Formats: sequence, structure tokens, C-alpha cells
Amino acid sequence: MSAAAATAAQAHALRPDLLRSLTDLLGPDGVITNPGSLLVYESDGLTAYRARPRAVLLPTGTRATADAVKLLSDAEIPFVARGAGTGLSGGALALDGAVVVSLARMDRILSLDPVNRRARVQPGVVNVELTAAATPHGLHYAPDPSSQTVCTVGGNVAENAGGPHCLKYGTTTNHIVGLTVVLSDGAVVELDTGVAGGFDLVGLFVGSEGTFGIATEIDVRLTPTPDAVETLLAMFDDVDDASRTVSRIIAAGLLPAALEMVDREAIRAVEASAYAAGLPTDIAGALVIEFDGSPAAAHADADAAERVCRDGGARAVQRATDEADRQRLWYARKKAFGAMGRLAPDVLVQDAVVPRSRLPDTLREIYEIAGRHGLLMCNMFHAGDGNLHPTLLFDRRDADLVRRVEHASREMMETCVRAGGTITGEHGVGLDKREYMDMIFTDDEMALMCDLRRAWDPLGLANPAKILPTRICREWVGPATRRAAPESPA
Amino acid sequence: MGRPRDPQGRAGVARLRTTADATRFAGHILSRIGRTATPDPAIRDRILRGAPAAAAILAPDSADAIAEVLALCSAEAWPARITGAATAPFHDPRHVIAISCHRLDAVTEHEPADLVVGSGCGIRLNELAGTLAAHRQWLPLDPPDAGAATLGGTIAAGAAGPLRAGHGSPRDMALGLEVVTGDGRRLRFGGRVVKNVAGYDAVRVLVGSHGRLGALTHAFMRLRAVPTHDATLTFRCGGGADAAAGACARALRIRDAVEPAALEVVSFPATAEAREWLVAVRVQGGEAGVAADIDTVRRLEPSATTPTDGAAWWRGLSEAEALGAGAEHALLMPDGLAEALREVARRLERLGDPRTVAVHVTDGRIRTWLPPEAPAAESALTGIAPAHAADPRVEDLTRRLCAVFDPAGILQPPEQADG
Repeated sequence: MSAAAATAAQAHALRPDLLRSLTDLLGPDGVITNPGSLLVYESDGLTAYRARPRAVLLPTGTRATADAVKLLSDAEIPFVARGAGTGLSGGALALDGAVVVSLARMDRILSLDPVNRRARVQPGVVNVELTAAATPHGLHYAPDPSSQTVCTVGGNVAENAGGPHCLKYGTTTNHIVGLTVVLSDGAVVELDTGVAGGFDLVGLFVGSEGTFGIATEIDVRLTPTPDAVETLLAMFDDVDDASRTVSRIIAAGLLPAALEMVDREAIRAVEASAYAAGLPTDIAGALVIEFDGSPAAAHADADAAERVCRDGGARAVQRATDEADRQRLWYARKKAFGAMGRLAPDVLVQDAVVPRSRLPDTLREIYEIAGRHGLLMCNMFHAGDGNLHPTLLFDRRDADLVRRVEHASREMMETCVRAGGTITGEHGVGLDKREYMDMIFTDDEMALMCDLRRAWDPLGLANPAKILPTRICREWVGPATRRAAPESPA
Repeated sequence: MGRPRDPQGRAGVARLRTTADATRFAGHILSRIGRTATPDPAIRDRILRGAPAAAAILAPDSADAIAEVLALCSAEAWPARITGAATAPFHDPRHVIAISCHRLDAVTEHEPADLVVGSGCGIRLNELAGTLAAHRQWLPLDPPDAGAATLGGTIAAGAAGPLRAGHGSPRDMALGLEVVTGDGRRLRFGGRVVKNVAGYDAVRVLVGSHGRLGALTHAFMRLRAVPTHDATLTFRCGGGADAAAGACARALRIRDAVEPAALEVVSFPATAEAREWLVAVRVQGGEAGVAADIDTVRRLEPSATTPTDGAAWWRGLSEAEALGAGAEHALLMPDGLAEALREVARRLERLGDPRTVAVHVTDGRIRTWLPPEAPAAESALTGIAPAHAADPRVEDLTRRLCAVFDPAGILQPPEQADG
């Protein structure tokens, strides 16, 4: 290591006395400072961004988390909570000299109450493991992001995660009824949606991407597992036909549990992988549609949807015959992202939303943008709620290609916003989409959000430099903060 | 972070101005915003019943006009109260500027293919329902005062009715909101799409904010297709405290067997000696699904019958609740309902008054009310729900939240303002 690098590393390191205090609190296994071990925490699922944390802390419960945050707060050191690190917006990046507070050790289901259909969990509980625990009781945890075998409930809360089944069941915020939160000064507060006359602070916290504090216990609502599930895969020779059929299914009065779309490139990638579903590779697109409920209702709805698909120009419609067949049909959608790795070393996944009725036009424009920039693109997305995931494939070692990817990304985002949509449906703003915020918010709106952030975190220590453009929170001050300024703590 | 202050001091908000001050200030507002439309007389009367000393009762016809009024009030630290149709009365002894949003009643966007509607918040729920029904769509909200309440008032109150069992509440349906803050900023949060995680979820905190964070002027709401089939079944569980507890247990069994759109335990005022307990379940969906659900309910409860007009039955319950006097409510977990209702039944037997009791079984909400014009009576629900200790930290967060939207504190009710 050069002298300059050594000096920088030393400056980046925590003070010895603080390190000692944290180690005394969390134990030697609860504090990571070894540079090699810190590498793992340099990025999340968005690997284009990297930032080495000053240290990683691994508390095991609320008290330890609060005490650790208090030590950091007294030293004015920012922190960022981290779940499984599967986020796709750089939300878990440790910027501004932050320390990572990993919740990986807080992985216990504290209670499960089938009669009241509730569970209380620590934030490090893996999403699918919560469902596994609830299954014997005829219940499940409904939010099902694609990373659910790895991602954590705490991370889901931070991002207000969605997933294919949020079309019928809602997103994470519809399933969180209480939180224990450690604030940036180390104080612990209990939030509950059931308090009469109170504001929905739980709803405000969900999706705040770690900038309000750290949720150390989470009360979730569990959903009855439906008696029956029917899954269809409809194949189309025309992408327009597929995307118009999405609206026709909804217009027919049907409410699928899931309604997903994949295009030709995505299908080809899956069919070339170990998860081939046996689909023809010359179709332009496919819809994966699922209904659940009573056996009679699910079957009738699936019949109706099949009719809509055939009337809408589907070449063929497959119906799952059993659970294994159902998994096969879902491969077309669920394995597509993983299969991208065969096609290019790097991928950039967009996460824009448009009104469902604008899907056909928007898709056409997105294909045109990708073509004009000479880019390889796949599309697999939550068509039922207009949540697009155009996925651009590239090699970061090609600077010109990277530039074209960035330009195309911005154009696609602008297209979606023009269509009445928004810049992120489920991945969050994080670091990645900070500079897109002014596409959809005015200065006044962002200033109010800045004030909201300061209301929860006056010290500005919780996950700094995320969500709001830097210029907003450093230069602009909303009215509430201006009025409070004479009494703000030093 | 200390308690925020406005330049003139928060005491100014709660200090009672003189009537002359009030007249002067009201005149100043009217001179600035012009002859604003007068509120609907029924709404004006309801506001006056709760705020007899109101300096002015305004019904601006644009969000810009509301913004100007609130900016003026905020600059003067003058208390203001926001309402829709005033179906949820507020009581305020001060010379408030009362602002009704009921003239912002235009549907601005309705794309049936998106199952989203955009509308001014002053639209009455039943008027919105009529517009949506033409496309076989609906906003599945049935709060007690659905006939007269505005969309904005319903959102601000977070109000819902029996249909919350299957469809949720405004918290689950509001996609985007425009709010005029206490100091007159017009801001929009959320949008017209069903999935949106851009920025903080201010929409969530505005729902149920009871006018303390600003005036809701426009909303994008998620809709549903009107179900092709809609059936209601009721079954009687007998009288007495044990029957009340039994009704809850039997209702929970129904909850676990079907996905009810609505599920209530109800006891109407008794005309005979003993009060009787009833369970009502509503199922919606396609023909096959509803038929299967009816079979399931009848298998569990062979005595279940179908009212002549199910929708009318539910409307009757809602109207009775809207007109009722001395309303009380308590929130419990579903597993505590049986014992709670046993105790409520014993109390009602002792009190012997014509109180109606209704319970949203799926979320544990017990409500009681007396007939309109009934004299005030002893509480039936005191102590039924576990006491919830106030958390100073939550109160602190709440104060800061209010200060973000209402820096001068003019929208805070008198019990929240500085003395």
C-alpha cells in the first residue's frame, strides 16, 4: 500500500476508542474492519456503484442496535442499514464515510399469531422463510419480490418492495402494521397503525430507504393462502397484442393475482439456460397470468382470461396441470433476469411505471430508444401494474457503450414519466435515481421531503446522500426547518 | 430539534381574537380572494354547530384560492379548519376560518383500462360512485356517511365501513394526493400509477390526517371492477352474553373459510326482552366463486338466510351508523373480540338502552351508537380495549410532522395548540 493510500485508509478508519466501545458492545464478531471482509459490503445488487464502509456492525437485537447507533451518533458518524444487499438502487451503499449496520444476525421470527394473522419478526428474516413459517397455519407473507429467497423483510420495508403478486395483494406497505424503530440518536420508538387518532407513521416509514432510522422489529400482516391457484402462459407473435391483452384482461373485470410479461429476448435467454421452459423462441412475447381463490373462482377466472388471450391474438395458451408445471411456466419470467448473465457481463435494470393503458405505446418507444442507441435489451416485467423493467445488456469496459446505456436509460425514464408514470415502482430511488427526482417533483415538494427527513433524523446521519438530490438537502431548506433553525441542536 | 415556532409565537394561534378582529380578518380574506362561493347551506349549518364563533366559512372553488386563504391565515397565525361536507363534526370555540373543499368536485381523469380515477376531493362519494358505475367500476368504500361525505373528507378521516374486510380502507386506495399545506403550498405526492416508491410516502401520512396537515384538493384513487355477483347471508346466534361471544367465534370460522368482502357481528336495538346477536357476511366475485362461497357458508351455518336486497341491508346499517348519536368505538385484535363482546353484552343488558352494536370482525373494530336524538348515556365501551399509553417519542415525531406541513400551527385543533 502506498503512503497516500495508507494515510487515506487511516483517516477512513474509526477512532480506536470508538472501535473499542463498539467491540465491547457487540463482541469481536460483531464488528468488521478488516479491509478484505469489508469488500463484501461495498455494493448492493447494483454493482456499478461501490463505496467501502468504515466498518460493519452486526447487532443482534433492538437494544444493541440502539446502543451502537448512539455511539455513532455521539461521534457524528453516519450509518446505513443493510439487509441481504440485494437492492437494485444503491440504497445500501455506505457514502459520506458511513458505517454499515448489517441486520443479518437479526433473523428471528419472534412470534406468529395465526388467529390474528400477524407475525413479529426481526428485519433479517428472509422473505420466503417467513412464508415458510406461516404455511402450516394456512397463511403466507404476500409481498414476493423476485429476490425473495434471499432478500429480507427489513429490506422490503426500507424499499416498500413489490413483486408479481402485488397486483392483487398490494405492496409491502399494505402488510406492515407496526414497527420498532431506532432513530438516528439511538432512541427507540414504537409505531403502530392501530393507534386511534394517530398519524400513519408506519406508512410514512415504509419505503423511506433507511433515511429515517432502522426498523429492528416488524409487525406484519399475514394473508390466507388461497385454496387454489391456476396459472396460464399465453404466447403472442406480436408484442402489441400481448401488451393490449393486459388491459383487456383487466377491462373484462378480472383481477389476476399476477400478470407478468416477457419478450422474445428474455424468452431466448431462459430457453438457452438450465431453466428452459420448453417455449418456442420465435414468439414476440408471453404473458404469465395467475388467478387464486376458491377452486371454482380460480378456474372460472382462468377460463375467462384464456378466452381474452385467444381473442387478443395469442398463438397458444398453456395451462399449468400441477405445481411442477406451474413452476415451469413461471421460469419464463422468474429465471429471465438470472439468464441475462449468459448474454453480457453487465446489466442495467430500469424500474419505471406507466399507466397500464399506456403500455403498448411505451413499449414501442422503449424498443425504438434501445434500437437507436444500438443496445441489446430484454423486457420482463409486472405488466398488470404497468411496472416495466427494461434490461440493458452491456460491458462496462466499453466506455462508449456505457455512455449509450446512460443516455438510453434517461430517455426511457423520460418516456415513462411523459406517459403519466413515475421513476421507480419497487426498486427505490437510492443513489441510482436521485438525479431523476426532479422529473416528477417540484423544488417545493422535494424541500418538504427534505423537511420530513430532518423531522425523523435532525442529525442527518441515517443513510446520507440517498433519495434526494444532493443540491436539495444541502442548499435548500423548507419552511419547517427554517423556522426550527434557532433551536436545532448543534 | 425543538418545537417549531412561527414568527409571532404559537400562543397567537390559540389566543382568542375579539369578534371585531375576526370580522376584520374575514373581510381582509374576502377582499383578497374575491367573493368566493358560499358553502352549501347544510354544510354551513353543520360547521356552525361545531364552530359557532367561526370568523368566516368559506367554500373556495379552486385549489389556488384555498392556497391563498391558508397563506393569509398562516402569515397571521390565524387558526383555520379544513372540512369537506362537515359530516365528521369538529368542535372549535375559536374564531376559526373554516374552509370547505366541497366545491372542488370535478372528476378530472378516468381511464377505465387503468382502474384509476382522478377527482377533486370535494366530490361526494355517492356522486363519484354514479360516474364510475357507468363503466362498471367502483371505489369500494362504504363509510357510514357515504351518502353525504366527500372523497377528501373520507380520505382525511381514513374512514371505511364493512367493505374494509375485503377491499381495505382509503390507506389502500389512495395513489396520489394534492395537498395545500398550512402555509399555502400546493404540493403533489404519489401519482396515478398503482406502484410508486419515488420519494417518501407522504400519501400514507396524509390519509387519516384529519385536516391537520393541509387541505386535500385532488386525489387519484385505485378502483375495482364492480363484481358481477354480490351475495349477503345472515344467521342468528341467539341472545345474551354467551351468544355474543359465540357470534364472534362463528364469524371467525366464516372468515377462515371464505374471503368475505364484509363480515360483521351486529346487534340491533331489541324490541323484545332479549337483545339478539346476528352475523352478516357479504361475498363478491364471479358467478362460480360466489356460488361456492354461499355453499361454504351454508355448510357451516345451515340456518343462514339471504336478505331480499343484500346491498340495501348494508346501506341500512351504514345509514343507521351515520345518523346514530353517542358513537363509541374500540379496536381489539380478532382473538379478543369474543370476550370483549361478552362483556359489552352484559353492560348493555344492565343499561337496557336501545344501542346498536356492530363489529368489523376481520380487524376487531367494535362500534356502538344510540338512535338519533337519544339522550346521552353511560359509555358501553370504556375499558373494553387495552389502554394504549402515549409515547412521548411518537408525540414528538407527530409534532415535527405537523410542523413540516403546517409551520405556523394554524391547522392544529385547540387541544394541540399551545395554551
